[in-house]
Amino acid sequence: MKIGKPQRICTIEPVEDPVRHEEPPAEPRKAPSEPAVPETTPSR
Amino acid sequence: MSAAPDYVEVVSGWRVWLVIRHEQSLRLQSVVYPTLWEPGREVVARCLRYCSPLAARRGRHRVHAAPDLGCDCGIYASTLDDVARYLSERRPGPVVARAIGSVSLWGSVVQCEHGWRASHSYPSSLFVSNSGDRSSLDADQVAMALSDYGVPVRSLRAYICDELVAGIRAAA
Repeated sequence: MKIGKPQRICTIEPVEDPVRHEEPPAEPRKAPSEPAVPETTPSR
Repeated sequence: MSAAPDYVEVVSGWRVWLVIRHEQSLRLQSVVYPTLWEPGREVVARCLRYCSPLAARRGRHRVHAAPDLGCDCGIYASTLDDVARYLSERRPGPVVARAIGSVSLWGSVVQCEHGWRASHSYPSSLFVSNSGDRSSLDADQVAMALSDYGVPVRSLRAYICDELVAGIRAAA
């Protein structure tokens, strides 16, 4: 491949990983919190 | 302490690959040197020009990191129009198809008049055409096999270079 004469050299440190293209997995849903169960049975 | 990089975003260029059979799979291989591009793994350049036994015997062996301003080494990429003409170049060997695609370039990058030479690279999109290679697979099957690379892969119904470039521009 002919790309011509070199002009300059630079360094690139990408913030994002160029190898990983897949969409990041969805954040796991948190299980809905259960309603608090009273520890004692209410007295009649 | 290492020096701060010049940029934090990759350079994007275009390349052509050979598609070859490798261990029951289809893989990308560089056109000039038989460098295998493996899915999920960046390609890291090393200078092959001065590493040959002949060069070593002639005393021309000069170990250096790739790419080097004074050498021709590195992973090449150029513009879409420039690389597309290499699709029609015929080479001997078990070539299943040819692929063209965009690549991310990073690490140490030499900017040239019409392209780049880089130390690190990985495809960011791939296009496969019915190139006329002797293969039992059509472009759709090749494209499906190349999905291992985890990047968008498209098959295009184009036999002529200009049609292929137009198809890529339309799809991009």
